[in-house]
Amino acid sequence: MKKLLLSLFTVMIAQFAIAQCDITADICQDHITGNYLSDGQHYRALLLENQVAEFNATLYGGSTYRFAACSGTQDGNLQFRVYDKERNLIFRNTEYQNAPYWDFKLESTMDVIIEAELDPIAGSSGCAVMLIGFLR
Amino acid sequence: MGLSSCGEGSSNSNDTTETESQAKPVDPNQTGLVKVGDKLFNLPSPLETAFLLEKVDKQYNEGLLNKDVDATKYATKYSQAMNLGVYGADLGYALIHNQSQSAFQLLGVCKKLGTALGVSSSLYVDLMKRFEGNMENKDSLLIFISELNRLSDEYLKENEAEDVSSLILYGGWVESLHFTTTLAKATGNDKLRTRVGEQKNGLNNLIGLLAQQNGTGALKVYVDQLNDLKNTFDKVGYSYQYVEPETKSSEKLTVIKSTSTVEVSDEVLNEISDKVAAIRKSIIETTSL
Repeated sequence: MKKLLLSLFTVMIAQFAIAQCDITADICQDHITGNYLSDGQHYRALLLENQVAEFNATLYGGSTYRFAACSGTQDGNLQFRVYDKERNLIFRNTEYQNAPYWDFKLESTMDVIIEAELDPIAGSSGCAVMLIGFLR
Repeated sequence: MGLSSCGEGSSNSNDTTETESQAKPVDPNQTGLVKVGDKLFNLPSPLETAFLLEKVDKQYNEGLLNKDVDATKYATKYSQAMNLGVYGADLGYALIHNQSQSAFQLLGVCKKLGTALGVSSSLYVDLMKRFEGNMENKDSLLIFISELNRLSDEYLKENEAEDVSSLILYGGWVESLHFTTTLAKATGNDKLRTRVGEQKNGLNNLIGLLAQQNGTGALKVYVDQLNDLKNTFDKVGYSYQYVEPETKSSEKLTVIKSTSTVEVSDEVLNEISDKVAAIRKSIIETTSL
């Protein structure tokens, strides 16, 4: 019975989080502005506390990219880190008050891994949305 | 929460230029965090590739595009999805080369394929109206197109059509690589040759993306084709050197200074080009898969 209730609870959380994704994506899109064009993809993951979503991306040398990372309805709910393929840490937004977006200028093409997780202060579950734009 | 075990410090939002010392690799197994089952894979936007092509070769090569601008040829979900990706890349290429009439025609084909796949027709109708009113404003049109792509992707993922979303990306990636390989060979331009080689990881991401959606085996044929292409890409030389990045917090900018090189021999370029041409042919000529 306990297991059933737990499963139901998990499903309810997931459904709520899916409904939240639309709103979150719209808010997040506001950060891909000006000369940045969306890469046309919508990355999202339903996260619970202690879960981390992993994004794999290739960024081209000579280009500048904007990563926008959002959860819920206000900025700063999502923490993200950027690593190279050797797991050298490139950036973490926790050092900048969970900045909802950050720009990355590349001297050479490289593959990166982006990890995102909810800020525990913001909640224990939610839809994490990551958007990537490139500078025209 | 396991964040503290990552060794992350407290917030620091000072506005000075700084260089962060983060050379020591982080072991992901030491973070205490639970990985979400699926990874998310990014593929470079066809628009991004089209910008590079326009920089290198201003000339509009209509012959690069799928000459059959006909959505009715594609009757099944997967053929519609792959060819929406192909036409979407063609649309970006035409638009960036200021071919607004061709772009408008391609947008019409994308609308037919997109709505057949369940994407709301209102998205396209709205875009086409804005398109007609801004035929000469390339910047506005590019924003419309990239936004349309994102909203379509969002819609498909929310409606559990991630296999369709993946195949759109697959079609777009193949078409973009077709442009790049063809022009790299025709012009001998080193930037284009390098861009071809740099698709090595993009290909791995694409294989990962399709493999995740291949639970029923329906995408096996595409995964197999890409794995065959990967055999050739494995011959592309690649080197990478980590260099400490520089973060400028006042600009919300990190300059990534790591360096990489790729080496693509003539033989490998030709082999990639042949395989990409064959995959593209199977996409645009297969109507019933």
